[in-house]
Amino acid sequence: MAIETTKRTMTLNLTDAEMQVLETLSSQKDLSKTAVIRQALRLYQLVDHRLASGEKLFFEDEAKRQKELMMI
Amino acid sequence: MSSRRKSRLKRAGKNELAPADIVDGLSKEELLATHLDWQPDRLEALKGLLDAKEPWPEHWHWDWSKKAGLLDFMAYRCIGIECEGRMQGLMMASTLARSSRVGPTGRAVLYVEYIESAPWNLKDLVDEPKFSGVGIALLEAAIELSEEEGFGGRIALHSLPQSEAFYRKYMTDMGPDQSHEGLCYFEMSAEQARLFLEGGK
Amino acid sequence: MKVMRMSDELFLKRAAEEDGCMISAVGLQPLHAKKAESGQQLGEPIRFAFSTLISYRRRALRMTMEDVAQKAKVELDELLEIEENLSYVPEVRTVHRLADLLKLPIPQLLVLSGNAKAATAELTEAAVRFAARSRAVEKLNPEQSNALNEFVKVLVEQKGKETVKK
Repeated sequence: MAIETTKRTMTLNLTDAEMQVLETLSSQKDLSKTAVIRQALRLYQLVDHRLASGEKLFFEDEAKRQKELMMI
Repeated sequence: MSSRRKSRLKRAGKNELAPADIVDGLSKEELLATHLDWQPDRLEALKGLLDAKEPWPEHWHWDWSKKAGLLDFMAYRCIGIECEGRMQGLMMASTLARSSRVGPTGRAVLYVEYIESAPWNLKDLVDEPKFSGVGIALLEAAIELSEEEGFGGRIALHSLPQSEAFYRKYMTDMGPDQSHEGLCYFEMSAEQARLFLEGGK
Repeated sequence: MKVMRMSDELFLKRAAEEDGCMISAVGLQPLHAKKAESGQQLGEPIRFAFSTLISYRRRALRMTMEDVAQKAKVELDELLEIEENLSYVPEVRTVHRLADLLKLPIPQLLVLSGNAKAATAELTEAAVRFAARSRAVEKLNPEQSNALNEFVKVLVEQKGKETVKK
């Protein structure tokens, strides 16, 4: 994996609702909005790879003994 | 392609520094090559451990070709410290933030998936270790990576039992984590990271 | 991005305190990729041999599952998975503890459990033979006892050969 020492800039067009979510996450996680987007990208790459290989993504509530399949 | 920056280690048994390089962004091949390089000394050390009926670290017989595959993903970063032509320590970190459990909770934390010193640096394995400070240098690199990612220097890891005393000096011991086979979970807050780098308590 | 560095003086002091101690940290869970896949890739007879070996050995030592779980400090439900679920690949730590308690060679047990690659064709063959001779029964009859003893003998011989090679 190449380590990027140069960064490129892009303009992101978000709806008000999307921007609201981004700002909330940024505040909750004490991360810049850019850092939140980068986190989303990393998570998406990992999840996408595993789904593409045939795995499924579940949420589990151990206390309630419930499992819910994430349809993505 | 990996990048390098200057670092240092301490020559064991002497009060002097040896120039070293932090190698950031090791590839799968470099990670595997390091484990291959360490293997003969590990096997040699194993004989001693078997004689003493000590358990050896489980990750010594992981299938590293699978673990190295994690480096295909942006979320994982591998950092090494090289001195005198050989890798003296390795670290793999996840830049997919975990949530801090130490107050304030819920903050982004860099999680150290794996950290280890080369076998010839460990006094439990060899009579005359070569270098000291591998853990310190790699923790320093982890804090730097955490800062770079916007996590404020916060880091977390699960320590093997033999390493708990080391991490307890600089991080908060949250105790055994049953979701990780009872390994103790340690976290370093932003303030602890600052104190680690600057000294003081 | 500011470069975070401690002073050389502080580094020397901290490195001296580190003093060659172990610094290993391991995030086991996230790095355990696709447990079920490992089990399937191993091949059912091999995995069956592992389950049966643990079960028979336990019974030969006259221990209940609860006894083993307690003495080896493993979760009872994980032990159930090991003995009854062929697609379950146990944690390496669990295999170590079982090997310790049941007096079985660790490297070979790691191969049979799906945690390490198969060392030799001989081991694979012995595992398949053992699996074929084993049946799920309540008691260990003399034939099963013999099958168990012969298989354990092969495992120990394998371990001996590997030690000599090193």
